[in-house]
Amino acid sequence: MSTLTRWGTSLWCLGMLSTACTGKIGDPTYVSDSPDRGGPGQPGSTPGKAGATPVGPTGSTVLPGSPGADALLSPAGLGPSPVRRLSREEYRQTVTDLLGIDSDAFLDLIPPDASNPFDNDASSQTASAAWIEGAKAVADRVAAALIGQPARVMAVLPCTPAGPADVACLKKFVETTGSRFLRRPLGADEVDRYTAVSKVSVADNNFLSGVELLVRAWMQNMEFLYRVEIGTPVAGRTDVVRLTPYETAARLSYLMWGSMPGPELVMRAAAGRLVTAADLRDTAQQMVGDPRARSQMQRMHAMWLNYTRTPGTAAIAAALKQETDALVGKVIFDDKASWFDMFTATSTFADDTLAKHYGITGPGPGPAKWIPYNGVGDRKGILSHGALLSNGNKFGDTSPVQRGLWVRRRLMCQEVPSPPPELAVAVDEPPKGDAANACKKVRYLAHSAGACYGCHKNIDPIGFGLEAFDTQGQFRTTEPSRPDCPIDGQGALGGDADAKTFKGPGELATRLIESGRLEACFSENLMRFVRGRPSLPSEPVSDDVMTQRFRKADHRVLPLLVDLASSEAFRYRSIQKEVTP
Amino acid sequence: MSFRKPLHRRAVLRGAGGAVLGLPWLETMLPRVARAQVNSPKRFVVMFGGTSLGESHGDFVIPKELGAAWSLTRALMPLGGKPSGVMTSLPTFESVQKEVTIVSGMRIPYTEGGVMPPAGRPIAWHSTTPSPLFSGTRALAQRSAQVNGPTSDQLMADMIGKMSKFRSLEYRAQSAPYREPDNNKGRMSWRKDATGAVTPNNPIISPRVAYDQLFRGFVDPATPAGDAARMAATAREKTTMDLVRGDAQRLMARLGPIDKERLDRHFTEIQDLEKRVNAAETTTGGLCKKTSDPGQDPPVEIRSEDRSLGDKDGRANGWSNESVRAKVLIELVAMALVCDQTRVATLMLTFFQSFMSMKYITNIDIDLHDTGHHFHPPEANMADAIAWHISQFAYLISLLRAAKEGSGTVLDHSALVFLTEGGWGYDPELNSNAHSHSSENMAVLLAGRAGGMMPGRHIRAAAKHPAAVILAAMRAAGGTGPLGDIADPIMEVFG
Repeated sequence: MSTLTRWGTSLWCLGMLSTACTGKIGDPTYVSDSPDRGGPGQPGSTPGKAGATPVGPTGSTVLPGSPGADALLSPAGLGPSPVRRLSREEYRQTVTDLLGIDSDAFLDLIPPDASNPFDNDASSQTASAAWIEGAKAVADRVAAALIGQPARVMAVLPCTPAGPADVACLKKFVETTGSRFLRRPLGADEVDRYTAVSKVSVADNNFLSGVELLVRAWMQNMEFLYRVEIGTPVAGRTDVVRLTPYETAARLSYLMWGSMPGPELVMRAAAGRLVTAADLRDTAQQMVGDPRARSQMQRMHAMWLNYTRTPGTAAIAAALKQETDALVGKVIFDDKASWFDMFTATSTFADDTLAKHYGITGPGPGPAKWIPYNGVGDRKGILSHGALLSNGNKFGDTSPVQRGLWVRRRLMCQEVPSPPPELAVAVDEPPKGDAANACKKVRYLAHSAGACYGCHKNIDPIGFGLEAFDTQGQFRTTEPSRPDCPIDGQGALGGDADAKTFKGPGELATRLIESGRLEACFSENLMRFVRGRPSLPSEPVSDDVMTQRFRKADHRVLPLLVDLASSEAFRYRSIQKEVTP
Repeated sequence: MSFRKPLHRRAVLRGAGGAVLGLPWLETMLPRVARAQVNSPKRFVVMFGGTSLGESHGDFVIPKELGAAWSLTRALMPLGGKPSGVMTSLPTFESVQKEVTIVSGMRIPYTEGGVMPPAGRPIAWHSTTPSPLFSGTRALAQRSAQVNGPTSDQLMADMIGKMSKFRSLEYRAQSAPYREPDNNKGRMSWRKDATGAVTPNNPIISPRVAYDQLFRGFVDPATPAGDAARMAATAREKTTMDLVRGDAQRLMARLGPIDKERLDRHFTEIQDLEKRVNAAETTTGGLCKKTSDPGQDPPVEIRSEDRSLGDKDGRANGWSNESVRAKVLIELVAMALVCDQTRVATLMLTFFQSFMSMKYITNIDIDLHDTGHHFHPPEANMADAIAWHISQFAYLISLLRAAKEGSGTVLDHSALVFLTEGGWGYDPELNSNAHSHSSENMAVLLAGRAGGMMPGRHIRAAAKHPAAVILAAMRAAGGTGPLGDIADPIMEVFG
């Protein structure tokens, strides 16, 4: 029963169960293959009913609202696709979905992921004894935690064991949970191999000993730890394979949810309903209704814009994170509005503590609510959130240079080189002597001439436009402890004659939107997140193409995601070797 | 289920009269004569601290005297077994000063006239010394902590480590980058893979994992032979790994060439883990025994500097009780060497440009990197930051000196190297003459008597490359060079 409850938290799942699942709860959702083959991915395999579908590019799927012909409509469209290991967060979410066990307390036994800025970059996932031993340590602990909670075990087991030697029940467990671990049906020989562990249960006089051992083994299985996509050959093509329906399901769920496919998704795969663009569109549209889709987009934004960790006391830090997550969720999922609304919102999600921190009128005692800024302190949109304004500090205060760089690099996706060594500038040193006592405006005059000017004219004015907000997003009119150093908050975007002035986060947002770089930078980062690697100099689906699609979708994120998930490119895998960018 | 029959170590030990405990990993495969020759194997350890051990922080770091009569400076105080101004988790130990040689006055050359010299670095400071320091190869032209050649420990692992249960061990005490994550800044071991590419050999960070890995299969002789629970647990472990390895093998057979290459390292590590799980039990005896159980790892904590202290920017730094972590890991390295589970180890105490908090070391709430900037005076703080690292090295020396082996100690058969990120002096990036962001005047500490090394002295090796000291230690421990571009060891360390 609890299996249903757990999956039932997503609304779209309930609707599907009524139509697609007529069996009793706990039935194997992966369709086992015929006994004479090892598993999907081998030439000639026909998982589920998918075999009835023509193998090869259909070429007939022009998506509504999409440009007529772009590389997303070609099988090699997503470019090289290195096998990805689950990130620690994906791993945590997967273990929660699969076993109902919170592995958070154990995860530090595995070395942390690199952040590049996303945590799923395949090129940074080097295997090591440290990782393999860590994964084993976590596997042992999670398996023990599962066995130690009878209610959880009963939720995972598809049957009630009659005794330690109940091979039939263990076999059912293998067929259900084993295939969920491996994200594909098991071959008959695999089922036999795993079920042979029954002898451990017998020797131990405890059915659960076998269960525990299998969970330990599956949690270290490479097909569990990595998103393996073997696919099936495509006639006449050596550069791509077509994903099996189960691989498509996994690709979808790790994109949309950052976790494993749920039983309903698996049922669709088994029923041959993850084959056409329409199948995927329908599925993806339902998947975005799941709370995990929301967390996934919140996480993507936090990694991209560098606020996975927020500043201040524990209470402020938590309130700041909640504020920004709420805005991302509201614009993308609740309002289904233009993504730009995130940058121009005139209200924010705050409780009294955060409102006081910001100097705005709070909602009164109790939980956070949406409250208007009422124009206080030029606040508008996500750029006036303390979570984002905590970027770019140096030497005890905000740094107009560091903030300018953060905007250029993160929000505009522009490369800004470090100062050339021949300038011998002490970027790592705090100001000394007279400079140490000067107001920032005066100190920064050093950048307004000579060799520094060429770069800094494009950087500093952005930061100065945000100066009225401190490192935790509090409004101010003078520099800290320096009433003699007033802050006017005037800034500019663009260093030359075409520079456009602005004051504060709201106006900066407008300038960024006008520049065209903001939407392009979102597309670029979304694709980096989707591909699990940085973009190559020439991608079949260029970041520009995604930007055009984003525009066509009126900058709404969910249609863009659904477009991507239902594209031809999404159902194939390029098997060309990745070229280092 | 098991695909191999484990060797029965106890039977072999009984056959040898039970006199030789702690036999090397595959020694049972060797003829008796060879076994006698390796009774006191040579060991090679490199330890690293992300700080600058420079010449001229006044009298705070490098002693003025050369030769055998050098005095302890504030930074070197822990070598004397004396309390220095810093907080550690270490017990007290007798002075190890006479076990240590300081080689000072060295440099890593930087790009001049647009040309990067061999084993050199670009003008930019941060992240650019790992490659020349650890592997004796040039850094990349742009700012990068990537290492471009196999590091000394991996060369040594190929030369003296293959017979051991662990070809090499890699540990790191600092748990996380804490800020601006660059994983390469937390790596000091790199090796050539099958395709010839130089790839990182990532360290184990969790003391818990390191402990369980090292002491897997260790059995106290007092334990009853027929300990049913233990036997059952071991059997289950073997069955599990048999499944894991078998599954991995089946998967590899189904993969295309690109995927196979990508997953090869993981598969190899699984096979290695299975071998360790299937290994015969190690019966402890004499000095070889489990160290005290470290319990749960100290939590990984990222925090903000206390802005109320003035001059701070409230940026993220972190503290995961690295003092406790370092202590556990050092004890593991020492016991791994004593029990001859490995002959090669690296221990990275802190990252390059480390953002580890110094609050729990010097009671000043800034990170280690900021300590190196002289705007957080006085220089004594920097000396204390160095002292924390030195105390860890001193502790390792004390443990190995306490371990009797044959007519001497394990220390007598070891070559231990302590390296830092930089030295003191000219920084071409800032055009500053007195900076810790400098690869001038670098110093390396050496300990052990392997191969005739003569410790206890202060040697100046003006303008020599610090990797030349590592190369000398490699020779001392039975290896050969070169180390990247460095072919001439500093022979003065042999007396």
